[in-house]
Amino acid sequence: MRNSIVTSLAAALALLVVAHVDDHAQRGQGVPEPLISQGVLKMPNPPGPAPKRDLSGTWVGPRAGAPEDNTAKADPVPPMTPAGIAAFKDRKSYGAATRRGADVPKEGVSNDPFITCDPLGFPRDLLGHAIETRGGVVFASAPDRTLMAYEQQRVWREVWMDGRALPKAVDVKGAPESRYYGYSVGHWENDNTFVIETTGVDERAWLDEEGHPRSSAAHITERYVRTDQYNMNLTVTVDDPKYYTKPWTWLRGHYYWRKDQQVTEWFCIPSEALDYRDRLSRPSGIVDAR
Amino acid sequence: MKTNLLLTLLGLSLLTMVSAPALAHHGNAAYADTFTEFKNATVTKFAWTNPHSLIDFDVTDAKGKPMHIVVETGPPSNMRLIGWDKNSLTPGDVVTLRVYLAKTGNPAGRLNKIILADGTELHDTNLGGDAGGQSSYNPPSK
Repeated sequence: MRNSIVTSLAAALALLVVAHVDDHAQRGQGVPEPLISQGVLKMPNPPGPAPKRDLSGTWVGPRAGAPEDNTAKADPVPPMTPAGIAAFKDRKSYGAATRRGADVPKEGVSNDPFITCDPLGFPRDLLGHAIETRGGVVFASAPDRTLMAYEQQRVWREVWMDGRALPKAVDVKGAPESRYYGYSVGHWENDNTFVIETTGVDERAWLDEEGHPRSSAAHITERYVRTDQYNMNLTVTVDDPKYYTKPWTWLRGHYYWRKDQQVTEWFCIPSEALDYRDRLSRPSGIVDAR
Repeated sequence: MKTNLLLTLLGLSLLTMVSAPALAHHGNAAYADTFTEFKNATVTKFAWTNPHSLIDFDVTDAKGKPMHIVVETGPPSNMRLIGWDKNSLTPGDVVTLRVYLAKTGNPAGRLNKIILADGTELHDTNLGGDAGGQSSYNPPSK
């Protein structure tokens, strides 16, 4: 009898705690992200339907692979053209610099531009480290535009939806300059699918962590499919005939709704990155002395 | 010179070498496969920074010679999720550290874990021994 009373009281207390957390979460009052061992904050199950033509809010992701299919992976990078091979040959990724194994041709040093906090650029920003640790992106709207604000480096993109055309070329006479995050236009393909097309990217940024190149003429398509109230899938395709022999699906990822709707700061700060490089990476033999 | 330093480090009576996996998302060809334990080390600086946080500490070898070592850990975004915060360490803290030392012989390395004076253990994200795997992404609750 006493045990059942204690159990009932404990259950009631637990419900009160959960209700309190939920209340704060819904009002955006900063429920801290739980530790890994505590799991992700619970969401209503099943989730409600996706609102129509609306991605606004804070999302965590993209994580490679949709939750219902964790085997979903991007396609392998297709063979490069001679121009692509030339652009790639001097790239020394951080991973390759530190990875163990005789099959790593560039072991020993890295010249990843992000070592000194150079912009990740699009679409590499989608692969940011913070994404794997519950970082994410805020979708918001402005007149004729969708805005996307990323936690890592606090960079943002502007996706025009007023029907304008993408630039046909960049960095030539009469054309706009290339940009790290390119030029983007978007449209709703249906009530739940938002498609963004981007071109005109600055070639100094790497396509991925391995250092693959992407040309300023690359045409990159993102397809966001909001499957319900709290989940969204993303597919990114890259079509870059200058550097690759065929288009491919570069990323298949998944976003989930961030319950507290807040983003933290995640900066690569040049002074700190240089300190890390000079005091640790170089002494450890991870990066070169550029 | 670098080799001498490494040999000195390895020869310290306060050190113990323990076999442990050295795996990380960046790989760790730069670091030893086994960790070295430093007892009675004094934290001199804790930089809660990207791309990796840094812990500086002083330690004295068996002959009384002071040494200064810097070790890296995961980035703050990862460490927060396994219990660290910006104030986890304060200069002056006397701690025990397990470190995968740089193969170059320089006084640098990657943290395995740190044991605070009160016995609290804080693991690194990637080489964290007991915490291995816990820093990975958790899928959303359905």
